[in-house]
Amino acid sequence: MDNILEVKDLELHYFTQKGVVKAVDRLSFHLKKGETLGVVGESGCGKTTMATALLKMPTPPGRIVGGQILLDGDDIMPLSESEIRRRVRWERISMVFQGAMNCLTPVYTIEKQMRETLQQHRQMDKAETAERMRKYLNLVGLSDDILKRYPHELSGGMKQRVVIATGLFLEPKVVICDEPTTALDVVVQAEIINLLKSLKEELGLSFIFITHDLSIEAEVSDRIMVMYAGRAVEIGTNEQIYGPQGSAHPYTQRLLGATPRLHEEVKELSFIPGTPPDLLDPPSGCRFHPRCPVVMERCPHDDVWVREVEPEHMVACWRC
Amino acid sequence: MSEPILKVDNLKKWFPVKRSMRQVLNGERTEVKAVDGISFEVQKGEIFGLVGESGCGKTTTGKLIMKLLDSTDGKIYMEGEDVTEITGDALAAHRRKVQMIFQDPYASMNPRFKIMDVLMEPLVIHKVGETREEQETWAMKALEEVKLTPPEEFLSRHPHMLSGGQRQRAATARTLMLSPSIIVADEPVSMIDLSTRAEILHMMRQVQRELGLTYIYITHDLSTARYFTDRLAVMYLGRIVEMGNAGEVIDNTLHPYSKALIEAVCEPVSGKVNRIKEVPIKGEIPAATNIPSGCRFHPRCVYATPECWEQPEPELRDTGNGHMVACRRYEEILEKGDAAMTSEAEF
Repeated sequence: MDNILEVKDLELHYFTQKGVVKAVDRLSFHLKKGETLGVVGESGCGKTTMATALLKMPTPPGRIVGGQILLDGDDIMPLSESEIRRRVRWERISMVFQGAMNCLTPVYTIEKQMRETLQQHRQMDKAETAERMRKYLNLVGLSDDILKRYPHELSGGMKQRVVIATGLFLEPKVVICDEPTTALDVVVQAEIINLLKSLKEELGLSFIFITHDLSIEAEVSDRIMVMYAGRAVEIGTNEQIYGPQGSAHPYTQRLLGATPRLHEEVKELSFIPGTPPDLLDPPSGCRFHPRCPVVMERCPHDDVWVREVEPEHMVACWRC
Repeated sequence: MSEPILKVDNLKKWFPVKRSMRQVLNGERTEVKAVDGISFEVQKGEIFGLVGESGCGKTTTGKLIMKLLDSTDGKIYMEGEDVTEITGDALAAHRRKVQMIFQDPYASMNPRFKIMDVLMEPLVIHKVGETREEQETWAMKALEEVKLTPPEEFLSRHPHMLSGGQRQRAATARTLMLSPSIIVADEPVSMIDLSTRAEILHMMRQVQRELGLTYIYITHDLSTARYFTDRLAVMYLGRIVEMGNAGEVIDNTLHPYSKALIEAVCEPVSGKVNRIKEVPIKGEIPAATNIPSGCRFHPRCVYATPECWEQPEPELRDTGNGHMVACRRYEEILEKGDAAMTSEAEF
C-alpha cells in the first residue's frame, strides 16, 4: 500500500439560502506515505473546505454529498460520527488549523488544553500523560516549562508549535496543516517549515500542506495540487510545477508569473485579469475560461477534469 | 541632490506602559520604544519602502509621518518645512498633502457609504471644491485614474459590492481626491488575492508615474518590496539597520539581520524540498520595553562579539552609493558569512 490517503470524486456543497455552492467539486487525489502534498489556490477556492471534508467535519451548511475517502485502504465515508471520533479523527488524521493564535483558549494553561486531547482519546494516568506531553513538546522544540503558562505568554511561533504538538499527540499518520505559517513573520515561518520537514523525517508522517503562497509550497511539498473554484486544475511533482520547463496549466503559469521574486529584477509582473468566480454561479465549462489568456472555442462549453499528461502530472486543460 | 520631499531626523515614538503602584512610587518608567531614533530622506517621485517584521515600528513610522501620532522626539520636514509641532490649519494642510492607504480594504471603508460618498468624504472634511458638480468630476477622474471604469457604474455601488482588489483601487482613488504629494501605503496588497496583487501594484505605480507622487510603502514582504520600491529601509526594533537601493540591499546585503530576513524568504523554484533552511539568526525578537544594550540586534546575531554589546549603538553609515548599514563589523562578518554559506549542509 503506497497511498496512505486516496480521495475519489469528493464533493462537498454548501446549501446556502441563496443556492448551492459547489465548494469542492469532484476532487480526486492521493497522498503517498511519507510525502507532503501541497494544496494551493486563492482564497475561496475550496482548500480549507476540502480539509474539513477529509476529517468529516464540514462546517454547516456544508455537506459531503459524494465521493470516497480511503484512509490506508478503508473507506471512512460510511462510518458513523462516533466511529469517526473514536477511530479516525485525531487518531489517524489530524489537523493544524489556520491561525494558531486563535486555536488556544486564552483562559486555560497550555497543560490543561493539551491534556484535554489525551483525556478524550486515551485512558492514561497522570504520569503517562505528563510524559507524553513532555515528549511532544520537546519534539517541536519547546521546553516543558511552558506547560504552566497561558497562551498570551507565548510568542506566535511558540503557539504554533504547541498547536502542532497537539496535532501529533495521538500519533496520526496524516496531518493536515492549514496555512500554518500565514500569520507568522518570515524568520519564524522558516523555523516552522524546518520543523515540519524534520518531523516528517523522524516520525514518517504524511502531510497535506494548505497555503495560498506558492513560494512556501515550493519549499515544503513533494507534490502540489493547484485548486481553482473548487476543482483541481493541476497536480504534479515539485519539479513539474516549479521546475525550469514550467507548469502546464495556464492558471498555474499566470499565478507563478504574478509572484514577485526576491532575487530577480522583475520589471513588470504579469497578472490575471478579472477576479475568482462566484461559486453560486460558476462559469460553465472550464471554470477558468473567463480569465484564461489562451481560451479556445470549446472551453466555455465542455467541463474539463484533471487527466494524466505525463507520469505523475495531471492537468485539467483542453490544450494539454 | 534636490531638496527631499520628506526628511525624518532622529524620530522617536515611545509609548508609556501602565505602571504598578510600586513603579510609580519609585519613579520607574517603562516605555515601548516603538520607533527609536530613525532618520531618512525621501526624494520627490520616489517609492520608498519600510520593511521589517511585525513590531519593528514600520506602521508607527507611517502614522508619525501622517501626523496621526505625535512624536516623542526628533523632527519631520515636509518640503523643507518643519511639520513636527504643527497644529490647526497647518496640520489640516499637511494631512491634505499626505494621504494613506490602509491594509484592510474591508475595514477602511464605511459599509453604509456608496463609493461616491467614500470619495467625497475627504473633500467634505477639508472643504475643498466649490460645487457638487466639480467634486463629482474629481471623483470620476480619480476612479478613471485607478482603472475602475466606467466610473459612473462604481460611484453608486456600496463597498460590499466590490471585490478586494476593486476596494483597494477605490481606497487609492480616495487618497487621490485631495491631490496629495505623498501617499503612505501600509501593506496595501497583503490582503489581496495573489492573482490580483500584481495588478494593484501595477496600477499604483502607474498612478504614481502619471501624477508624480511619492510613495512610502510599508510591508513585511521583501519580495513585493523589491519589485515595487526604488529604495528601502530594513527596520529592527524601532531602528533602521540597513537602507539603500532595493536591488542593492537585497542582492548585496550587509547587515546580519537583513541577511537573516532574506535567507528566510521562500522562493517559488524547485529543488528545495529536501533541505533544511539555515537562517543565521537565533532566539526571538525581544520586547520593545527592554531593548538590549549596544547594538540592539546582538542577542540574536550569530556573529556578535563583546564589542557589539559594550560599544554604544552603531549609527547608520554610508558604505558608498547610498547603501547605509548600522553594523560596526559588517565587513568582517561578510567574509565569515561567505565561508559559512558554502558549507551549508544538505540532508
